[in-house]
Formats: sequence, structure tokens, C-alpha cells
Amino acid sequence: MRRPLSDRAFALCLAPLAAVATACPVLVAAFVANNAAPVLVAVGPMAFLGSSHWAPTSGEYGVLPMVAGTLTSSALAMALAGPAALAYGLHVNLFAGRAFATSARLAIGVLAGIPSVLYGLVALTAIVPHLVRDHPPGLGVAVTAVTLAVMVLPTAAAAVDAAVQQVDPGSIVAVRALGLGAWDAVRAVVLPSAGPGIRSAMLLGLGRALGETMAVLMLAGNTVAWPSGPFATFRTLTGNVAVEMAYATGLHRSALFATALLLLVLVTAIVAAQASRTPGAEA
Amino acid sequence: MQTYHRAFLSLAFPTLLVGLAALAACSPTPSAPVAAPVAPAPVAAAHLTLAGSSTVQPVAEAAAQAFEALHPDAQVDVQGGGSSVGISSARSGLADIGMVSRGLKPEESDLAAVSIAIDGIALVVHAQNPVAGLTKEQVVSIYTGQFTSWKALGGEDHAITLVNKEEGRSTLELFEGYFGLKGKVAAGAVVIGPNGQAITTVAGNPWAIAYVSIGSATFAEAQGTPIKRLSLEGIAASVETVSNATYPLVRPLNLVTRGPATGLAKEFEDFLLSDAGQKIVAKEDFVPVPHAPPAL
Amino acid sequence: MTPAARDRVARVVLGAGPAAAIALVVGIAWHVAAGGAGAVDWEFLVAGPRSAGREGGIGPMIAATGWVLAIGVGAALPLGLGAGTWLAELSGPARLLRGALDVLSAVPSIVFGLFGMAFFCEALGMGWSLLSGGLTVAVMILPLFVRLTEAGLRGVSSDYRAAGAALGLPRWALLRRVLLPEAAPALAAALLLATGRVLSESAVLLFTAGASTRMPTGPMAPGRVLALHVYQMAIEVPGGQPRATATSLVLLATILVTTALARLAPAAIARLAR
Repeated sequence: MRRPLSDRAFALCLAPLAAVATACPVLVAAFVANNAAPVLVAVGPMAFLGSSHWAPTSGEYGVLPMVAGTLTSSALAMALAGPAALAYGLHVNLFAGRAFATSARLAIGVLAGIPSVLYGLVALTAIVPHLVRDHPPGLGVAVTAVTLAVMVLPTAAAAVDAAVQQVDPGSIVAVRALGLGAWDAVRAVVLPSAGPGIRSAMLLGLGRALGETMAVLMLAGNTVAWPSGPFATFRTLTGNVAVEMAYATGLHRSALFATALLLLVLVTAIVAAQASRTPGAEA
Repeated sequence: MQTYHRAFLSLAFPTLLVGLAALAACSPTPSAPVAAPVAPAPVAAAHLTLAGSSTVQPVAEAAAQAFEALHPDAQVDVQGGGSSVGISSARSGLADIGMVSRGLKPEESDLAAVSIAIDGIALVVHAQNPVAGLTKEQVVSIYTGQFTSWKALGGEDHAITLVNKEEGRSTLELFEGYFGLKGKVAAGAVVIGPNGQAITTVAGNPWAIAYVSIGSATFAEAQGTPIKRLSLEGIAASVETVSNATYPLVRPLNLVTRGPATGLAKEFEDFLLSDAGQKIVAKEDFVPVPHAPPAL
Repeated sequence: MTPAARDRVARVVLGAGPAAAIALVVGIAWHVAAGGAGAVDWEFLVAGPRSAGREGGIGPMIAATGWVLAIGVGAALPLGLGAGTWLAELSGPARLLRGALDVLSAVPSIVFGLFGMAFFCEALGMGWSLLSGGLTVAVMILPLFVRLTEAGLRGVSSDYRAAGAALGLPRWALLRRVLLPEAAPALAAALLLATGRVLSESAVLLFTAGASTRMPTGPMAPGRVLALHVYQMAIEVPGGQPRATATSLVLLATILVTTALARLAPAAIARLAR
């Protein structure tokens, strides 16, 4: 049976919208890659990734300290936020009373909506002044990692919550029926069953930490140096782009696009890893 | 279903091609300066965009408001970013006038510069810091990391927090050039952008030291910000010493355009050079132009 | 240890997680409100900034934010609706589109800043303008609209589709009269979530819409959005932190309202649609 004319016309109207929507991510990726190419051709990806000298005025574009900065701050943030998110997900679903669970979920919902400049501002006005006295300049790895942890907590926590809710309630009831407690149900049933979802939640949080810009700009100190201690100032990949973007020209600008490309690759890897771990991955 | 596949593909590919063509047409080549100058669509009959040095920014913003009062149909937008942004945006057409807090270099001869003020660069510390002045050697020792504690300068035994400007700021270039510090600044310096950020950092940290525009620092002190300027080689860092050319580290504040300024841009430059404009310059604690030309 | 005892310990230890979340919200809200409430009044919301923002208000910033939001949503909504409907109702290279949008939604916002500046401002010649900023933001929120439209449409019961087919309704009529109204709550949620996301962006807009403090006169003018104003006041203007906090209070209140609406509106719209 031929489809009615109106249906085909309708599909033809939708097609350009869908096409443009598909074109967007491709365009962004292609744009970034195209603008990153000059520096990668000029100094080579090995020098770009492997060198610790970032001195654009002398033609040196090694991003290794920034990679270390990004990985260190994100890993520390996840080390703090991950267990908290897991504890949250288990508690509100299996241990909390209704009122407390609702309040906690609401709190996470609100935290998720707070913009990153706000987190940076609060850390800058509430935490840094106290650190300046004993550990000047107060900026650096510690305050950045803690702030990042607070920022990724809602993302990871909401995802853990969703993963734990997917666990078959019957199996939890079965464990309780044997006379065991909620904690035993967690160990025996919830963790194994929600495991992939929980790992996915952690990856989601990590992805958010890697991409964070504004709070890091305000709190890291933006020094091109290895993150050498809790109060050492450092710079992340995102901070590198943000700080230098406005005025970079030529190869320097290409190097910033290459930094953006590196971020894109990292994030895509995490999305792929996460998609492969979540059962029934499609939206 | 095949109709839809065909419809989608037949529209997706051209869209992608157009997009890729657009980006191919404008990808910058490493050797040439920023490609294909594009003048943005004008906002109003008389619209002016300035961008660049954070030192010049307060003057430009104050002048913009006064200029708009005199020319009711004109709109002047001011943007920061640093002197390099001033140069590159004047070249690319993103800005009509670039603000640059130094003289132009030989490779920038395609741009025309008009000096509207004179300023100096001073070292600043927190108001509570007992140190009042430094010699050139002391500044070098501090910024190369040789001195790590204020004790070496007669203060308390606290680590010195170095504050350095990000690349692309002319204040950095001039500072490094004058003290011979290019490539030698110690690794642990906190990196900041505009003058305001340097001042905020120093005001919040009793053991920080930074270098900023004298005009910005004087203005901030008048507002009550807890910083103070240090004298250099015994010469106080103030508007007076810049004006009578006794302070060693001075620089012009320039408005640059691609080719000599015309139209509204020229009117704005002329306004800043007029008495009314120079009064604004003085109010922001910079030195008006007719005084001794800068050393740099 | 008995199961009950283990549970008691677990309840206390695990309770640290949600307790931390609640404490953080309360702490942050109190800090912002205490620091900023004094400065916020009608004049603050309407007047322009003076003395680099240390005095005066944030009227132009609110206007700039409104423009960017309107342009961003205005561009992303039809694209998102179209693409989402395509994915839900018709076939086509769906997995390609979904995969591409998944990556897009995870891209760090600074990359969009670079892209927006190079593509909209320079290549397409829009300069620093609210239009450049709005279109860049549209690309950022597109995946959200696509995904929620698709989910909303898929969530509509297949009974409706079967009834429509039985009545011989053409596809588009079914969509227009039945499916889209049923999916309206999900679309409303998408709209409000996207609003929250747009309000939070600052670096992206600095590089595309500029940082001008005057009241914008149209989409081609530059402007400074609220989130960016918070950053500039906090970091670049000496003595600007009190105003930064006051602006944050306004921003936070707006985001809280849209987040709350995002939760409540879908149910309300669903009831209205019946």
C-alpha cells in the first residue's frame, strides 16, 4: 500500500531538521579537528602530548602538565564524590525513611542545577580565605578537587539512584525473607545487579569532572606546572583553552584546538565505555 | 521506508557539505595572520566595538558613556581580553578599535596607533606587607624564585606568592623585557589575566606580590582595596612620577585600527584626545598625553 | 553481628552521603543568600552597572541572558522536535544520529566556546553578538531536546497509534492531534532543563556574545550574561565579590524556579491536556 501523500510530505519536512541535527555534532568535531591539524602537523602528536613545555611564544606546545592537572583533579574529585554517591544511592533506596529520602533527592536535584561559576564563587569566598592564612595562595589542587567533587556528586548520585531503583525488588524481598538485613541484601543482590549501572554512574561523573571549566579557572591558579601537592597551583586542559583562547593566533590557536580535540577524544572514550557497560544501552 | 532513507540522505549530505565548506573556507593557516578579515554586521547606524587591554578598558568604558551622551545615536561596546586580543581583533575586524597597552611592534605596521594616555607598571603587595620598595635586583630575585620568603626582604618568614600575568598581556611582555625575565620566571607563579584579577589576588593574600598598571592600582587604592604600590629603585610608583618621566617603567596606552581610523572610530579617538577625553583619562588615574613621551 | 546490628551501622555510615548533599545545599544557599540578599532590590534588577559593576544593577545582563535563551531555544526547539520525531516515528540512520548526539551532549562546554567563536563569530561573520551566543548554545542543548522528544513520543501508549491506524489517520495528523499533546509534558521538561543549562553557561558566551555591559539593542549586539557577570565580578573587579554574590542570588533563584517547574509542570500540563 502506498503511503498517503501527506505522510511522505511530512517525512520530507522532517528530514531536513533531522539532517541538520545530525550535521551539528559532525560539524563541531570536524571543525575542531580541522583547526587542530596545523599544530599536530607542525610539532607532531608525540611532542604535543609528551612534552612538558608549554611556551607558545617560543613555539613549544607540550600539554603534559595540563593533562596531569586534569587527570589529577578529576581523579581526586571522583575519589571523594564516588563513595558519597554510592552511599547516597544505597541509603535513600534501602535505608532511609520516606521524608529523608525525598529531602535528599530534592537536595541532589537542586545541587545538579547550580551553575559552575556559583560553585567557584562560593569556594572562593568561603574556603579560600581560610586557606590563605596557612597555605597561601589558598588556590590549588585541594580546593579545586573538593569543589569538583561537590559538582559531580549530583550527577553521579542521581545515576546511582536510578541504577539501584532498577534492581528487582523481588530479589531484595527474598533476601529479607531469609531473615537477613538490608545490608546483606546490598551485598548479595543490589551491588551485583546494579553494578554495571553504578560503574556507568561513576564514568558519568568522571566525564563531567574532566570537562569542567569555570570553577577550575577560579580555583586552580592556572600555573603551567605539575600538580605537586595539595596546595600547589596547576592548570587543566579546559583551563588552558579558556585562559589563552581570546588572544591566541596561528599555531598557538591551533594548539588550543588540539587541546579541545584531546578533550573530545577523552570524553568520547568515556561515553563509549559507559555505553558498553550499561545493559540495554539505547536512550 | 526507502523514501525516507533517500530523503534523509539526500538532504544530510548537502548540509554536511555546506558546513564543511564553510569551515574549510575559514580554517586559519599557521603562517598568515588571522585569515579572511570579516566585518560583522553593524548593530545600529553608528556602532563601535573596542576590545583589548584590561588597562585601557576602564578609560574606554568611561569614555564610551560620555561619547554616547554626546552622540545619542552611537553605541560603543567595550570588551577586554588583553593587548593581544586588541591586535588580533582589530586585524580580523571583530573590533573596530583595539586597545593596546604598549607601543606597536615592527610586525604590526599594518595597524595605526593613537596614544591616548601614559601609564606605568608597578609592583604591588598587600597593604599590611611591611616592605615598601624594591631594587631591580630584588625584583629579579623574587621572580626567578631565588627569594622564596619575605624574610629575605625584611618581612616575616612567609612564603612569597608570585603572581604572573598570562601570555598575551602586554604588561607581562613589558615587565619581562624590563627586568630581563623572559623564560626565567619561577615555575610556581599563580597566573592571572587582567589587572583587576592581579589586584584582587594581592588584596586577598597578605604574602602575594604582583605587577599591575599604576593607574589601575591607584584607582583601586582610592576605592579602599588593601594594596599598596612599591617604589622601584627608590622612585615611588605614582601618577606624578609617570607624568614627569622619573619612573623607569612606563608605556603608552594606544588605540589601534587597521589603517588610519575613519568615521566613528576617528571621532571616538578624537574625543579621547580632546580636553573632555583627557579629563576622563586623568580621572582613571592615568597620565594625559601631552606630557613627556614614554620610554618604550 | 546480627543482621539488624549490621543494618544499624550501615544506615549511619551510608547516611553520610545524603546528609552531605542536604548539608551542601543548605550551606550554599545560606552563603549566597546571606552575602547577596542585601543588595538585591528592584533597582538592582533593572538598572545598569556603574563603576565596573561595583554599583548599580544587572539590568543589561538579565536582558542579554533573555536574548541568548530565546535565540538558543528558538533554534534548538524546532530542530530537536523534528529530529526527535524522526527518531521516534520514522526510520532512518537512527543509530548514527543517536550516537552523534550522545557524544555532543558529553562534549565539554569550552569546546563549544572555541567552535562558536570560530564558526559563528568569524566564519559566518556575526562578530561578538547575542546571535552568535544563542546559536552556539542551541547546538549545546540540541541533544537534550532530541532525546526528550523521542522519549516522550515513544512513551505514548501504542493504543493511540493502533486506534489512529484503525481510523485511517495519516501519520502527521496522528502526531499533531494525539501524540504530541500526549508528549507535551516531556517537552515542557526538556524546555525547562535546557533553560537551566543555558543559564549556567559563561565561558562559552564570553567568547561568542562578548562581555559588554551596556543594554543590548538587538540580537546582533554583544552582551554579558548573568553567569559571566558573576565570574567577572568575582575575579576581575577588585571589590566586586559582594556584587558577584548578589548576582549569584538572582541567578540561583531563577534556576531553582525553572528546576522546580521542570518537576511540577509536566504533571500540570498532563492534567490540562486531558
